[in-house]
Amino acid sequence: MLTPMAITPLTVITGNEELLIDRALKGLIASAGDDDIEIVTLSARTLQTGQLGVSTSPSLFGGTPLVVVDGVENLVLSNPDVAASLDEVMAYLSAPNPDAMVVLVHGGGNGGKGVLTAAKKAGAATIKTPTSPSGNALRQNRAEFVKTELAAFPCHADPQTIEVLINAVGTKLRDLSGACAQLVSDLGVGGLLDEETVRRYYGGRVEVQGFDIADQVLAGRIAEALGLLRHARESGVPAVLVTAACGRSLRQLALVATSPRGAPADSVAALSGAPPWKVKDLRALARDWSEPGLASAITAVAVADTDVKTGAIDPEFALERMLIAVGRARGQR
Amino acid sequence: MSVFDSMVGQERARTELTRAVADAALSSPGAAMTHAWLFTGPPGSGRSVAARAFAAALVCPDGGCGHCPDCHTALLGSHADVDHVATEAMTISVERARSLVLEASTAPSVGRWRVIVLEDADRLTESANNALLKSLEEPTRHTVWLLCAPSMEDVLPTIRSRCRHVMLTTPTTSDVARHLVERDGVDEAMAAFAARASMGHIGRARGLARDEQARLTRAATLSLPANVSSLGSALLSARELVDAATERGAERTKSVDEVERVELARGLGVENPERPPKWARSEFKRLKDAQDKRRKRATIDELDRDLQDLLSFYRDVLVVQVGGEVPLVNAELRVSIEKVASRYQPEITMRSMEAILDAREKIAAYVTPLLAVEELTLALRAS
Ligand SMILES: [Zn+2]
Repeated sequence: MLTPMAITPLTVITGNEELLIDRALKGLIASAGDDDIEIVTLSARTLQTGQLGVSTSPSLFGGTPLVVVDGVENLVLSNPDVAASLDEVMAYLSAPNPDAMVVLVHGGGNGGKGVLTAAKKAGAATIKTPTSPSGNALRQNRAEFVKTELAAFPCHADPQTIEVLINAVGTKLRDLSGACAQLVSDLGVGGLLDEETVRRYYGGRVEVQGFDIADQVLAGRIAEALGLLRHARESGVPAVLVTAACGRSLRQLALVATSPRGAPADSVAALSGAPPWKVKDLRALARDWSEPGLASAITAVAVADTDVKTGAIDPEFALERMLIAVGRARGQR
Repeated sequence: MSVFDSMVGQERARTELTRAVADAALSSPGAAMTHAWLFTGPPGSGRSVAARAFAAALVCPDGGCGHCPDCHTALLGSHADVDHVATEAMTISVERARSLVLEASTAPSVGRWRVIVLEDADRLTESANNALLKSLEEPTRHTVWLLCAPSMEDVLPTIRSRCRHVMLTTPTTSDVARHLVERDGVDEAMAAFAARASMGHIGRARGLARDEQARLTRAATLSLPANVSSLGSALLSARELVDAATERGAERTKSVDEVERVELARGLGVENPERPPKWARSEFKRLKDAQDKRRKRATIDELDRDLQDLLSFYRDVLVVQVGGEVPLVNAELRVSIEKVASRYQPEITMRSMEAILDAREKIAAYVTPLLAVEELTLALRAS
């Protein structure tokens, strides 16, 4: 039997994004240079004594076993439920099988540090995959991700286009990665992805329609907003998505409007949750808005959200009333 | 010592239950004992504590001495003749109810009674309710059902009418403080603070007395009125409050989520709950959806607690404004309470309190929490 040259008996992959961890795994498999790899995935929490030994022993047909152990961060000493699993991993690490590949996946946090230390001592290679931030930083992180995904084709898109794409597809990496691949290869856009293409392809997506309505009404174009609302509702956009989009847009506008005049765009972006490239636009937009106007607009959205969620009044009427109240609040001094 | 010592206040309920235990021990049980009980009371009044204590007293040869193995295991939930059903799930299914009925009908292994403590009887589905009815109506000689629910209205009339009602009330501040000192060994000053701040919620009081993080969280919430002075600060305060509650809600449900995932995997024979095979994904998806719902519910509970704390702050402001001769809930914040009190008229304080009550209602009705809290902080800013 040929032993492949680049086989790594022990690897630690850290991260909390399945897509990125999968990619790291694929990289490992590719570098092993063996097309005959048998992958087994196990959960660190439910390992039984001897299971790693059995899983890593070569099969009759001679493929190299690749055993992925997920959730190593759960192996904490203080939890009696995982004591057996912990023992099993530690026992394996004390004598790893050089002809098998074992990958320990650590999802972050402080748990399972003992295992990581032992793995390092046993000569494990470490692959760190980026973890996702929470809160406002997430969208910025996703914008960077889309940019990198597109660049790999290679393809380029401006920040506004990327924002529209994220609004349409959401913030799950797998969805975004799929969308990028679809737009570039299936549609054959070539080197430049523009907003119009994204809108043409995803414009029907409910999220985009919500934000389009918000854009119109924040600019004071009540009639246009009402038109878009009707269209959106006819195409099945849920009412709560419209209130959510208006709420978020107004929140960003209000926080940009009340941020100190000279503050750098990056810090305003972090505070408001608006993407940095949009801060300038929002500042311009904010000139038409007063603080009382913004406060009453946000209140109107909250009222509409309540009406819609509790079914107090007809959602169409609640949303129309909200758009008119928001649009009129723009002129309020 | 008695198992009933764990009940805080509740003199009337305690007397009633003690009498029932005495009658239960007679060779032919007296009228104070019966087969189906419904414990109601506001959150923190100790419904499940009372039910558990009663269960222990029924299986204890000494009527609830509090230190024998029977008492001990009954309180811990591991007594062979006491079934303790507490759920984090949204509902109790008909299958679960049927299996309880079956358990209830088997003869006790050691003592005279088989006791089923059913916390969250308000979560029985309608068909689960119906499955219980017969056993409640015609119980075997040895079966005792102890049902718990927030109020009578939370259980179906058919169940209600078959149970004897034990009504628990919110314990007084001094009851709670005394309990913390005597039973939990908390020092007097801390016990007084925790009892006051929790407004009679014993679990909350214990948490505040023991956990510094809980005290810090509460202090942060109570700093909100002083911080909402502008549009920007109102929106940021709202976001902070909701983010913190969301985090706590997730923290609270995390471990039970994990246990459920592992159990589901085991039940399906799936090796790795993190990466279920295709055929099992819909099961895992269903579990995840239910868990998401529960996490939302936990966040809502956390937010509601914050809003109760806020309400107590404005209540104190109002007390100061009208010169009321009653103790402040947040006596440690007297300075900032007086500052806010001097700034406005009582009418405005009352409007603020109404806004808080309004927000609580909306959040309980699943209105988007951030929008509801923003509406609130904007209203508080204006006042
Ligand atoms: Zn006893």
